Amino acid sequence: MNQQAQEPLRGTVDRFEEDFAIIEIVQTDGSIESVEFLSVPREEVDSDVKEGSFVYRDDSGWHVESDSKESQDRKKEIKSLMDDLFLD
Amino acid sequence: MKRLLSTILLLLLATLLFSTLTVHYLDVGQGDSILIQTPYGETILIDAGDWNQGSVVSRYLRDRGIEVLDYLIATHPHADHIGGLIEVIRTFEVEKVYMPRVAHTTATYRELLLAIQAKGLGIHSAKNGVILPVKGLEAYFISPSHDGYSGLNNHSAVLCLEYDGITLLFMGDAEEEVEHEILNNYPGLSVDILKAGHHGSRTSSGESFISSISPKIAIIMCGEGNRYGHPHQPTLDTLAKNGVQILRTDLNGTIVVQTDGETFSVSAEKRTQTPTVQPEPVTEAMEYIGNINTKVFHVPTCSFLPAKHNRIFFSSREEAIKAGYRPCGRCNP
Repeated sequence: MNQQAQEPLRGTVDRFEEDFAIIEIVQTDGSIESVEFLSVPREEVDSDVKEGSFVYRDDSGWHVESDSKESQDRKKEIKSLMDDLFLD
Repeated sequence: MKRLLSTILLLLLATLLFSTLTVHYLDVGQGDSILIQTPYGETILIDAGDWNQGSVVSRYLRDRGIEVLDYLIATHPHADHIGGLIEVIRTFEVEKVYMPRVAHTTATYRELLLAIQAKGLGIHSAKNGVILPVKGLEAYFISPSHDGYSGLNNHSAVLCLEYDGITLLFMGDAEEEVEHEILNNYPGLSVDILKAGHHGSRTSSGESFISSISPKIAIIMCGEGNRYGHPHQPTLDTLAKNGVQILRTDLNGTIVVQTDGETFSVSAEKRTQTPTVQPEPVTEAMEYIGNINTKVFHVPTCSFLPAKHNRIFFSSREEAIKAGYRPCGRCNP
Protein backbone atom coordinates (compact mmCIF):
# COMPACT_ATOMS: atom_id res chain seq x y z
CA MET A 1 0.00 0.00 0.00
CA ASN A 2 1.35 3.39 -0.88
CA GLN A 3 0.48 6.41 1.24
CA GLN A 4 -2.47 7.72 -0.70
CA ALA A 5 -4.90 10.38 0.45
CA GLN A 6 -7.53 8.91 2.76
CA GLU A 7 -10.95 8.53 1.28
CA PRO A 8 -13.65 10.61 2.91
CA LEU A 9 -15.46 8.71 5.63
CA ARG A 10 -18.38 9.61 7.86
CA GLY A 11 -19.51 8.23 11.19
CA THR A 12 -20.97 8.83 14.63
CA VAL A 13 -19.00 8.91 17.88
CA ASP A 14 -20.29 6.09 20.08
CA ARG A 15 -18.01 6.92 23.00
CA PHE A 16 -14.56 7.86 24.20
CA GLU A 17 -12.38 5.33 26.02
CA GLU A 18 -9.02 6.52 27.31
CA ASP A 19 -7.00 7.79 24.33
CA PHE A 20 -9.48 6.65 21.72
CA ALA A 21 -12.69 7.83 20.14
CA ILE A 22 -14.85 4.89 19.12
CA ILE A 23 -16.54 5.88 15.88
CA GLU A 24 -19.45 3.96 14.40
CA ILE A 25 -19.35 3.60 10.62
CA VAL A 26 -22.41 2.36 8.76
CA GLN A 27 -21.61 0.62 5.51
CA THR A 28 -24.17 -0.05 2.87
CA ASP A 29 -23.67 -2.87 0.41
CA GLY A 30 -26.77 -2.99 -1.74
CA SER A 31 -29.64 -3.31 0.70
CA ILE A 32 -27.48 -4.72 3.49
CA GLU A 33 -26.28 -2.32 6.15
CA SER A 34 -23.46 -3.31 8.42
CA VAL A 35 -21.98 -1.47 11.34
CA GLU A 36 -18.29 -1.25 12.07
CA PHE A 37 -16.41 0.57 14.80
CA LEU A 38 -13.10 2.39 14.53
CA SER A 39 -10.92 3.14 17.52
CA VAL A 40 -9.32 6.43 16.50
CA PRO A 41 -6.51 7.96 18.58
CA ARG A 42 -7.68 11.20 20.20
CA GLU A 43 -4.97 13.26 18.49
CA GLU A 44 -6.62 12.52 15.14
CA VAL A 45 -9.93 13.89 16.41
CA ASP A 46 -10.78 17.60 16.78
CA SER A 47 -11.21 18.77 20.35
CA ASP A 48 -14.82 19.85 19.78
CA VAL A 49 -15.85 16.29 18.86
CA LYS A 50 -18.13 14.86 21.55
CA GLU A 51 -19.91 11.64 22.36
CA GLY A 52 -22.75 11.47 19.83
CA SER A 53 -21.15 13.88 17.31
CA PHE A 54 -21.58 13.22 13.62
CA VAL A 55 -18.08 13.34 12.18
CA TYR A 56 -16.18 13.08 8.91
CA ARG A 57 -12.59 12.34 8.07
CA ASP A 58 -10.28 14.18 5.72
CA ASP A 59 -6.49 14.27 5.38
CA SER A 60 -6.10 16.28 8.58
CA GLY A 61 -8.22 13.99 10.79
CA TRP A 62 -11.77 13.79 12.10
CA HIS A 63 -14.03 16.83 12.34
CA VAL A 64 -17.56 17.66 13.43
CA GLU A 65 -19.87 17.57 10.45
CA SER A 66 -22.12 20.57 10.01
CA ASP A 67 -25.75 19.50 10.25
CA SER A 68 -26.53 17.20 7.36
CA LYS A 69 -29.94 15.95 6.34
CA GLU A 70 -28.98 12.39 7.34
CA SER A 71 -27.89 13.38 10.84
CA GLN A 72 -31.04 15.46 11.31
CA ASP A 73 -33.14 12.53 10.11
CA ARG A 74 -31.33 10.10 12.43
CA LYS A 75 -31.91 12.36 15.46
CA LYS A 76 -35.55 12.91 14.55
CA GLU A 77 -36.15 9.19 14.04
CA ILE A 78 -34.58 8.31 17.40
CA LYS A 79 -36.56 11.01 19.21
CA SER A 80 -39.81 9.85 17.69
CA LEU A 81 -39.03 6.19 18.49
CA MET A 82 -38.25 7.11 22.10
CA ASP A 83 -41.43 9.19 22.45
CA ASP A 84 -43.36 6.27 21.05
CA LEU A 85 -41.70 3.46 23.06
CA PHE A 86 -41.07 4.87 26.54
CA LEU A 87 -44.07 4.17 28.73
CA ASP A 88 -43.33 6.67 31.48
CA MET B 1 -45.85 -44.67 52.53
CA LYS B 2 -44.41 -44.67 49.03
CA ARG B 3 -46.56 -41.73 48.14
CA LEU B 4 -45.46 -39.79 51.21
CA LEU B 5 -41.83 -40.43 50.36
CA SER B 6 -42.20 -39.23 46.81
CA THR B 7 -44.02 -36.11 48.02
CA ILE B 8 -41.18 -35.36 50.42
CA LEU B 9 -38.66 -35.95 47.65
CA LEU B 10 -40.54 -33.63 45.34
CA LEU B 11 -40.69 -30.95 48.00
CA LEU B 12 -36.98 -31.31 48.67
CA LEU B 13 -36.23 -31.08 44.98
CA ALA B 14 -38.45 -28.02 44.64
CA THR B 15 -36.71 -26.33 47.55
CA LEU B 16 -33.31 -27.10 46.07
CA LEU B 17 -34.31 -25.90 42.63
CA PHE B 18 -36.17 -22.82 43.68
CA SER B 19 -34.15 -21.42 46.52
CA THR B 20 -31.05 -20.49 44.58
CA LEU B 21 -30.30 -17.19 42.93
CA THR B 22 -27.78 -17.67 40.12
CA VAL B 23 -25.94 -14.79 38.47
CA HIS B 24 -23.84 -15.35 35.35
CA TYR B 25 -21.27 -12.71 34.42
CA LEU B 26 -20.69 -13.64 30.80
CA ASP B 27 -17.34 -13.34 29.12
CA VAL B 28 -18.29 -11.18 26.14
CA GLY B 29 -14.85 -9.66 25.61
CA GLN B 30 -14.78 -5.90 26.08
CA GLY B 31 -18.37 -5.32 27.22
CA ASP B 32 -20.96 -6.39 29.77
CA SER B 33 -23.58 -9.11 29.81
CA ILE B 34 -25.15 -10.52 32.96
CA LEU B 35 -27.82 -13.20 33.25
CA ILE B 36 -29.75 -13.50 36.51
CA GLN B 37 -31.90 -16.55 37.30
CA THR B 38 -34.09 -15.92 40.31
CA PRO B 39 -35.18 -18.47 42.95
CA TYR B 40 -38.65 -18.54 41.32
CA GLY B 41 -37.27 -19.24 37.87
CA GLU B 42 -37.58 -15.73 36.44
CA THR B 43 -34.82 -14.39 34.21
CA ILE B 44 -33.20 -10.96 34.02
CA LEU B 45 -30.66 -10.03 31.34
CA ILE B 46 -28.49 -6.95 31.79
CA ASP B 47 -26.80 -5.92 28.51
CA ALA B 48 -25.42 -8.33 25.90
CA GLY B 49 -21.98 -7.06 24.91
CA ASP B 50 -21.17 -5.60 21.51
CA TRP B 51 -22.79 -6.50 18.17
CA ASN B 52 -20.66 -9.60 17.63
CA GLN B 53 -21.62 -11.01 21.05
CA GLY B 54 -25.36 -11.26 20.34
CA SER B 55 -25.04 -14.83 19.08
CA VAL B 56 -22.71 -15.76 21.97
CA VAL B 57 -25.22 -14.52 24.55
CA SER B 58 -28.14 -16.12 22.67
CA ARG B 59 -26.36 -19.48 22.63
CA TYR B 60 -25.57 -19.19 26.35
CA LEU B 61 -29.25 -18.57 27.09
CA ARG B 62 -30.43 -21.40 24.83
CA ASP B 63 -27.92 -23.82 26.39
CA ARG B 64 -29.64 -23.16 29.72
CA GLY B 65 -33.07 -23.82 28.31
CA ILE B 66 -34.09 -20.17 28.51
CA GLU B 67 -36.74 -19.11 26.02
CA VAL B 68 -38.24 -16.14 27.83
CA LEU B 69 -36.52 -13.14 29.36
CA ASP B 70 -38.80 -11.68 32.00
CA TYR B 71 -36.75 -8.51 32.36
CA LEU B 72 -34.29 -7.07 29.90
CA ILE B 73 -32.14 -4.13 30.98
CA ALA B 74 -30.04 -1.98 28.66
CA THR B 75 -27.86 -0.06 31.12
CA HIS B 76 -26.95 2.76 28.70
CA PRO B 77 -26.74 3.30 24.93
CA HIS B 78 -23.05 2.45 24.28
CA ALA B 79 -22.46 -0.27 21.70
CA ASP B 80 -20.41 -2.51 24.01
CA HIS B 81 -23.54 -2.91 26.14
CA ILE B 82 -26.45 -2.77 23.68
CA GLY B 83 -24.99 -4.10 20.40
CA GLY B 84 -25.67 -7.75 21.26
CA LEU B 85 -29.11 -6.99 22.69
CA ILE B 86 -30.45 -6.41 19.19
CA GLU B 87 -30.06 -10.09 18.25
CA VAL B 88 -31.25 -11.22 21.69
CA ILE B 89 -34.46 -9.17 21.40
CA ARG B 90 -35.08 -10.49 17.88
CA THR B 91 -34.50 -14.09 19.02
CA PHE B 92 -36.13 -14.40 22.45
CA GLU B 93 -39.49 -13.67 23.95
CA VAL B 94 -39.06 -10.60 26.13
CA GLU B 95 -41.59 -9.51 28.74
CA LYS B 96 -40.37 -6.15 30.04
CA VAL B 97 -37.65 -3.78 28.88
CA TYR B 98 -35.94 -1.24 31.17
CA MET B 99 -33.64 1.50 29.94
CA PRO B 100 -32.58 4.94 31.16
CA ARG B 101 -34.44 7.58 29.18
CA VAL B 102 -31.43 9.07 27.46
CA ALA B 103 -30.87 9.43 23.72
CA HIS B 104 -27.85 8.54 21.66
CA THR B 105 -27.29 9.33 17.98
CA THR B 106 -25.78 6.07 16.72
CA ALA B 107 -27.27 3.63 14.24
CA THR B 108 -26.75 0.96 16.92
CA TYR B 109 -29.09 2.75 19.33
CA ARG B 110 -31.63 3.25 16.54
CA GLU B 111 -31.44 -0.48 15.72
CA LEU B 112 -32.06 -1.37 19.37
CA LEU B 113 -35.17 0.85 19.47
CA LEU B 114 -36.39 -0.61 16.16
CA ALA B 115 -35.91 -4.18 17.47
CA ILE B 116 -37.96 -3.31 20.59
CA GLN B 117 -40.65 -1.70 18.44
CA ALA B 118 -40.78 -4.69 16.09
CA LYS B 119 -41.55 -6.93 19.08
CA GLY B 120 -44.44 -4.68 20.07
CA LEU B 121 -42.77 -3.87 23.38
CA GLY B 122 -42.66 -0.65 25.36
CA ILE B 123 -39.78 0.63 27.49
CA HIS B 124 -39.93 1.30 31.22
CA SER B 125 -37.69 4.15 32.37
CA ALA B 126 -34.90 2.83 34.57
CA LYS B 127 -34.18 5.40 37.26
CA ASN B 128 -33.57 5.75 40.98
CA GLY B 129 -36.46 4.26 42.96
CA VAL B 130 -37.97 2.14 40.18
CA ILE B 131 -38.72 -1.37 41.41
CA LEU B 132 -38.47 -4.50 39.28
CA PRO B 133 -41.43 -6.62 40.41
CA VAL B 134 -39.36 -9.83 40.68
CA LYS B 135 -40.77 -12.64 42.83
CA GLY B 136 -38.81 -13.60 45.94
CA LEU B 137 -36.26 -10.80 45.98
CA GLU B 138 -35.89 -7.07 46.14
CA ALA B 139 -34.71 -5.58 42.88
CA TYR B 140 -34.59 -1.82 42.36
CA PHE B 141 -32.68 0.83 40.48
CA ILE B 142 -30.62 3.29 42.50
CA SER B 143 -29.48 5.43 39.56
CA PRO B 144 -29.83 7.55 37.41
CA SER B 145 -31.40 10.21 39.63
CA HIS B 146 -31.64 13.04 37.09
CA ASP B 147 -30.85 13.76 33.44
CA GLY B 148 -28.00 16.22 33.80
CA TYR B 149 -25.02 13.85 33.90
CA SER B 150 -21.81 14.62 32.08
CA GLY B 151 -21.83 11.60 29.79
CA LEU B 152 -23.77 8.50 28.82
CA ASN B 153 -21.78 6.28 31.21
CA ASN B 154 -23.21 8.19 34.16
CA HIS B 155 -26.75 7.69 32.88
CA SER B 156 -26.25 3.95 33.48
CA ALA B 157 -29.12 2.08 35.04
CA VAL B 158 -27.64 0.82 38.33
CA LEU B 159 -29.47 -2.21 39.72
CA CYS B 160 -29.44 -3.36 43.33
CA LEU B 161 -30.56 -6.90 44.14
CA GLU B 162 -31.23 -8.17 47.64
CA TYR B 163 -31.89 -11.82 48.31
CA ASP B 164 -32.40 -12.23 52.06
CA GLY B 165 -28.97 -11.40 53.50
CA ILE B 166 -27.04 -11.13 50.24
CA THR B 167 -26.82 -7.89 48.24
CA LEU B 168 -25.56 -7.60 44.68
CA LEU B 169 -24.92 -4.35 42.86
CA PHE B 170 -24.64 -3.88 39.10
CA MET B 171 -23.03 -0.57 38.20
CA GLY B 172 -23.16 -0.57 34.40
CA ASP B 173 -20.56 2.01 33.35
CA ALA B 174 -21.36 4.48 36.15
CA GLU B 175 -18.40 6.57 37.28
CA GLU B 176 -17.35 8.35 40.50
CA GLU B 177 -19.86 11.19 39.97
CA VAL B 178 -22.64 8.60 40.37
CA GLU B 179 -20.87 6.72 43.17
CA HIS B 180 -20.90 9.92 45.29
CA GLU B 181 -24.57 10.39 44.54
CA ILE B 182 -25.37 6.80 45.54
CA LEU B 183 -23.50 7.25 48.84
CA ASN B 184 -25.62 10.35 49.52
CA ASN B 185 -28.90 8.68 48.58
CA TYR B 186 -28.18 5.29 50.20
CA PRO B 187 -25.75 6.02 53.04
CA GLY B 188 -26.06 2.60 54.69
CA LEU B 189 -25.62 0.58 51.50
CA SER B 190 -23.52 -2.52 52.05
CA VAL B 191 -22.77 -4.86 49.16
CA ASP B 192 -21.59 -8.47 48.99
CA ILE B 193 -20.95 -8.77 45.27
CA LEU B 194 -20.18 -5.75 43.13
CA LYS B 195 -20.13 -5.64 39.35
CA ALA B 196 -17.51 -2.88 39.20
CA GLY B 197 -18.42 0.14 37.08
CA HIS B 198 -17.00 0.79 33.60
CA HIS B 199 -14.89 -2.35 33.08
CA GLY B 200 -12.58 -1.60 36.01
CA SER B 201 -11.64 1.80 34.61
CA ARG B 202 -10.00 4.41 36.86
CA THR B 203 -13.14 6.51 36.30
CA SER B 204 -15.01 4.24 38.71
CA SER B 205 -14.70 2.26 41.98
CA GLY B 206 -13.34 5.24 43.92
CA GLU B 207 -11.88 4.82 47.39
CA SER B 208 -14.79 6.43 49.28
CA PHE B 209 -17.35 4.28 47.45
CA ILE B 210 -15.48 0.98 47.84
CA SER B 211 -14.60 1.53 51.50
CA SER B 212 -18.18 2.51 52.26
CA ILE B 213 -20.08 -0.31 50.51
CA SER B 214 -17.22 -2.76 51.34
CA PRO B 215 -17.96 -5.56 48.87
CA LYS B 216 -16.56 -9.02 49.51
CA ILE B 217 -16.14 -9.65 45.80
CA ALA B 218 -15.77 -7.34 42.82
CA ILE B 219 -16.34 -8.63 39.32
CA ILE B 220 -14.65 -6.75 36.52
CA MET B 221 -15.95 -7.31 33.01
CA CYS B 222 -13.44 -6.51 30.29
CA GLY B 223 -11.77 -8.02 27.24
CA GLU B 224 -8.46 -9.83 27.34
CA GLY B 225 -5.72 -7.47 26.17
CA ASN B 226 -8.16 -4.63 25.54
CA ARG B 227 -6.58 -1.46 24.19
CA TYR B 228 -7.95 0.79 26.93
CA GLY B 229 -5.88 -0.87 29.62
CA HIS B 230 -8.98 -2.01 31.56
CA PRO B 231 -8.88 -2.76 34.41
CA HIS B 232 -6.68 0.14 35.48
CA GLN B 233 -4.11 -0.35 38.21
CA PRO B 234 -5.51 2.35 40.57
CA THR B 235 -8.86 0.51 40.57
CA LEU B 236 -7.20 -2.84 41.31
CA ASP B 237 -5.19 -1.16 44.09
CA THR B 238 -8.28 0.42 45.67
CA LEU B 239 -10.08 -2.93 45.66
CA ALA B 240 -7.08 -4.83 47.02
CA LYS B 241 -6.50 -2.22 49.73
CA ASN B 242 -10.09 -2.69 50.91
CA GLY B 243 -9.72 -6.45 51.02
CA VAL B 244 -12.02 -7.07 48.07
CA GLN B 245 -11.50 -10.31 46.17
CA ILE B 246 -11.29 -9.57 42.44
CA LEU B 247 -12.59 -11.73 39.61
CA ARG B 248 -12.19 -10.70 35.99
CA THR B 249 -13.86 -11.99 32.85
CA ASP B 250 -10.66 -11.30 30.86
CA LEU B 251 -8.74 -13.73 33.10
CA ASN B 252 -11.43 -15.96 34.59
CA GLY B 253 -13.83 -16.20 31.64
CA THR B 254 -17.51 -16.45 32.52
CA ILE B 255 -18.09 -16.16 36.28
CA VAL B 256 -21.10 -17.68 38.05
CA VAL B 257 -22.30 -16.68 41.52
CA GLN B 258 -24.86 -18.81 43.35
CA THR B 259 -26.53 -17.86 46.60
CA ASP B 260 -29.26 -19.18 48.86
CA GLY B 261 -29.63 -15.77 50.51
CA GLU B 262 -27.23 -16.56 53.34
CA THR B 263 -24.00 -17.74 51.76
CA PHE B 264 -22.72 -17.65 48.23
CA SER B 265 -20.34 -19.58 46.03
CA VAL B 266 -18.41 -18.39 43.03
CA SER B 267 -17.24 -20.49 40.13
CA ALA B 268 -15.30 -19.42 37.08
CA GLU B 269 -14.61 -20.89 33.68
CA LYS B 270 -10.88 -20.38 34.22
CA ARG B 271 -9.37 -20.49 37.68
CA THR B 272 -6.26 -18.50 36.90
CA GLN B 273 -5.98 -15.31 38.92
CA THR B 274 -2.85 -14.03 37.25
CA PRO B 275 -2.28 -13.37 33.59
CA THR B 276 -0.57 -16.29 31.95
CA VAL B 277 2.07 -15.82 29.31
CA GLN B 278 0.35 -15.86 25.98
CA PRO B 279 1.90 -18.08 23.33
CA GLU B 280 2.99 -16.20 20.22
CA PRO B 281 0.03 -16.06 17.88
CA VAL B 282 0.43 -18.10 14.74
CA THR B 283 0.16 -15.59 11.96
CA GLU B 284 2.07 -17.23 9.14
CA ALA B 285 -0.65 -19.12 7.35
CA MET B 286 -3.39 -16.69 8.13
CA GLU B 287 -4.89 -14.20 5.78
CA TYR B 288 -6.19 -10.81 6.85
CA ILE B 289 -8.82 -8.69 5.18
CA GLY B 290 -8.50 -4.92 5.27
CA ASN B 291 -11.07 -2.27 4.52
CA ILE B 292 -9.62 0.29 2.12
CA ASN B 293 -11.98 2.97 3.43
CA THR B 294 -11.71 2.55 7.18
CA LYS B 295 -8.11 1.25 7.16
CA VAL B 296 -9.11 -1.48 9.58
CA PHE B 297 -8.15 -5.12 9.12
CA HIS B 298 -9.99 -8.25 10.22
CA VAL B 299 -9.64 -12.00 10.42
CA PRO B 300 -11.67 -13.71 7.69
CA THR B 301 -14.17 -15.00 10.25
CA CYS B 302 -15.00 -11.54 11.62
CA SER B 303 -18.70 -10.75 11.49
CA PHE B 304 -18.03 -7.26 10.19
CA LEU B 305 -15.99 -7.75 7.05
CA PRO B 306 -15.97 -4.88 4.58
CA ALA B 307 -18.02 -4.99 1.41
CA LYS B 308 -16.28 -7.02 -1.34
CA HIS B 309 -15.26 -3.98 -3.38
CA ASN B 310 -13.58 -2.39 -0.35
CA ARG B 311 -11.36 -5.35 0.51
CA ILE B 312 -7.60 -5.64 0.46
CA PHE B 313 -5.75 -8.79 1.55
CA PHE B 314 -2.68 -9.14 3.73
CA SER B 315 -0.73 -12.30 4.42
CA SER B 316 0.38 -11.21 7.86
CA ARG B 317 -0.61 -8.91 10.68
CA GLU B 318 2.69 -7.05 10.34
CA GLU B 319 2.05 -6.41 6.68
CA ALA B 320 -1.34 -4.90 7.49
CA ILE B 321 0.07 -2.66 10.21
CA LYS B 322 2.98 -1.59 8.00
CA ALA B 323 0.44 -0.51 5.40
CA GLY B 324 -1.17 1.79 7.96
CA TYR B 325 -4.07 -0.48 8.92
CA ARG B 326 -5.39 -0.86 12.44
CA PRO B 327 -6.67 -4.11 13.96
CA CYS B 328 -10.43 -4.44 14.21
CA GLY B 329 -11.68 -3.88 17.75
CA ARG B 330 -14.10 -6.79 17.50
CA CYS B 331 -12.13 -9.71 16.08
CA ASN B 332 -8.79 -8.53 17.51
CA PRO B 333 -6.62 -9.83 14.65
